[in-house]
Amino acid sequence: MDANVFLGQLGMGLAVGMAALGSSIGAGAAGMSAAGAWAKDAKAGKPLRFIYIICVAAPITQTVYGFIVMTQMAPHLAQAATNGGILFAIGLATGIGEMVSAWVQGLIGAAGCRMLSDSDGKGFAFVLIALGIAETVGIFTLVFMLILIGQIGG
Amino acid sequence: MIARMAKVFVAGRSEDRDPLLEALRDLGVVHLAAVEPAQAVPRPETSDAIDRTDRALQILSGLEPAGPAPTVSAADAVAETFQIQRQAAETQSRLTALHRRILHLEPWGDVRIDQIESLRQAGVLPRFFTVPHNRVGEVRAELVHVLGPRPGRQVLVAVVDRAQEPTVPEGSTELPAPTEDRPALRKEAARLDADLHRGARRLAALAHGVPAIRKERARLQSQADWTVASRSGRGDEHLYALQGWVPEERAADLSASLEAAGLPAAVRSMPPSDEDEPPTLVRYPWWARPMEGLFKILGTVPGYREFDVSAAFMIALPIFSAILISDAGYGLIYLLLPILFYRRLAARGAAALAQLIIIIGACSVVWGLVTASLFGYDISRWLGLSEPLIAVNMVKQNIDFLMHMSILVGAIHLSAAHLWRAGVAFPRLEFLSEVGWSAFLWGIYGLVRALLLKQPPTIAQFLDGNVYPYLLLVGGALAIFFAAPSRNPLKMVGLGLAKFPLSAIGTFGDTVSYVRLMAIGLAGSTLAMAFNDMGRSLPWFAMIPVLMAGHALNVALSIISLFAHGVRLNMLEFSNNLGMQWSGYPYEPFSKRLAKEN
Repeated sequence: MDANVFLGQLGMGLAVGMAALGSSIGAGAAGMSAAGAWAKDAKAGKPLRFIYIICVAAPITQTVYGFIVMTQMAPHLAQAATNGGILFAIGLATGIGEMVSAWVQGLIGAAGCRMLSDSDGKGFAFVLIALGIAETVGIFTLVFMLILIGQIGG
Repeated sequence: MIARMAKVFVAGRSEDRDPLLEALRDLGVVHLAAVEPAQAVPRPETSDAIDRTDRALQILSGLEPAGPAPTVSAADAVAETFQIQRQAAETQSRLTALHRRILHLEPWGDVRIDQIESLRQAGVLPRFFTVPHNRVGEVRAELVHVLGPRPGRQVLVAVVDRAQEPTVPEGSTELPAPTEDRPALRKEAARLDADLHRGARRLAALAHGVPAIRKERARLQSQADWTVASRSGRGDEHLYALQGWVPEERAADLSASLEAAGLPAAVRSMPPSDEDEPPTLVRYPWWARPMEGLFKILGTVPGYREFDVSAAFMIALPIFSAILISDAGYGLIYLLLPILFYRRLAARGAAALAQLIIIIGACSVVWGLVTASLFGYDISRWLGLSEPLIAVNMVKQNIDFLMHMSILVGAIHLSAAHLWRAGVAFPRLEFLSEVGWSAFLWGIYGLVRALLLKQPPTIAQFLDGNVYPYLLLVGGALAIFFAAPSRNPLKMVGLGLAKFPLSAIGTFGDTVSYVRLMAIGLAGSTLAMAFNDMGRSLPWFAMIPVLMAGHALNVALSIISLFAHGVRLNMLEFSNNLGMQWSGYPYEPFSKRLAKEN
């Protein structure tokens, strides 16, 4: 197989694979923290809060962003012999951007669960905003990579 | 609308302190501001009692009342609930330990300690060894009996040798004879289990008293409020005085109300000074009242001098939610579930939230019909269309359309925030800065369109023959010049320039951020179609659970998206551009609290 074609295919895999890795790690970190917060709340006789789920699930969307980039890269694989390098770069940049965004978002979610447990649910809006800021990096990565893919086409 | 507040000072004779507080409590309009906040706290024993009552309520509310209702007071019921709960936790822990010990004794079977003792008394002393499984034949004694396998490829062997000289192979280990037996432990476990059941039955009986405990909770809260109120003021042997906040229109009749109550008291009210931080009382427009439910969950209160954004959120959030959900089927779920459970939700104080979800559901159904998507299936034909009016799928031109729509929605939303600020700032010159930012935002919209969608295809074309570069220039200039109007033009421009770069980058980021509407809507549709494809390849009995589980997961993810994206676009992007800090605290007048019966 031509090395350029291989690079293009690898780039597609990395875009979604690394994003999924980040989502898993992020959701895992937030999930562990949420479980601890639920246990603490239950022990204190407080109601178990749904809002922790939002912190846990927030890093999932980065995988979808990786998937969208991957599907937009797919039509360019036909010209991978010439575009393999840029496809690989786009895939790698997407993968790293989405992975770190999801990972960090999960860490913020974990801290958010602890904070919400201690504050009796007060300040959820601010946790949401902090989660959103981490996600914005993922959105920017998606948008900028789509711009780059558009450049290949043009 | 955020209600205007008046600062009030109330002074009376010291001996009238309690009647004065009672009168103020009955009026229920004064939000007391403690002279020394550190002193204005409830008694520790009252706070502890409230905590204990809350926890008892938490335990008992989840139980179905059963058995005869006990004749105990609410306070005794709380204490007993705690005692049972604590004992149950201890019993459960002992039970877990017992089960572990029973498991540990499994190799010994149901041999009882008294049986081993009888053998000993008869001069038969059994000894026990773990022996490698392939060397059992090497054990030499008068009696060798294999009891069963052990972990690590070992077997447990019982050996009797009256001379006490058994021979075991290398690698064998002698185990001490058991000091307890499974039948005795099982008996103990059954006793503990019965204790647990007895406790559970008693808790179910105590659950009859939940309404009485709620009343007790309200009484304790009133007691705590009273203590806080009485410690909020300041007095000496002659006079007692309080300060607080009252909605402006109620300030005038406060003095008359106290006089009508037969209390000689001096009341003075004044508008808040610039240094004051009054509490916030939001009076929602009737049609934006459902937002109250969301703000309760979010725990945010706008500052007194900030904006009441409920109306703006009420318009934007259902639209964003509909685009994020992008499916008429999911919209129907959002619409019908809160309608079906409305009474139950209303009884739990979540009527406003239920109304908001119903509105979101209705908007989603409408948008789902526009996108002709019902649980991921294309329903264009049912609607008499050859194709969806707006297709949400992975076709490039459809993605481009959705992306364009998203940034257009963003530009409208954000520029509306700046125009609102401009309206409030008018006729001060700062309003021109806000008008400038609004124009600049539309320039950014053109730039994002050119970069993202290639409309026009090149930056050169964007710069030549387009209105957007002029909007960037004129809007930017207005934003810089009038950010901090001053008689000194150098200072004015200097301050404006200092603020501009970061804000301009932020504006670009905020506009691009709305692309999430497209990304999440597309992701939800793609997942729904993927589940349908998965189901199609299966026989019907497997297809139904797969489709139900898949779409349920997608709906659950959409709920999270509403918070993480729909709410966030309002709370972060829109609110930031509106200059919201959410730095307020709620107006909570000193009043009688009533027990919630549900």
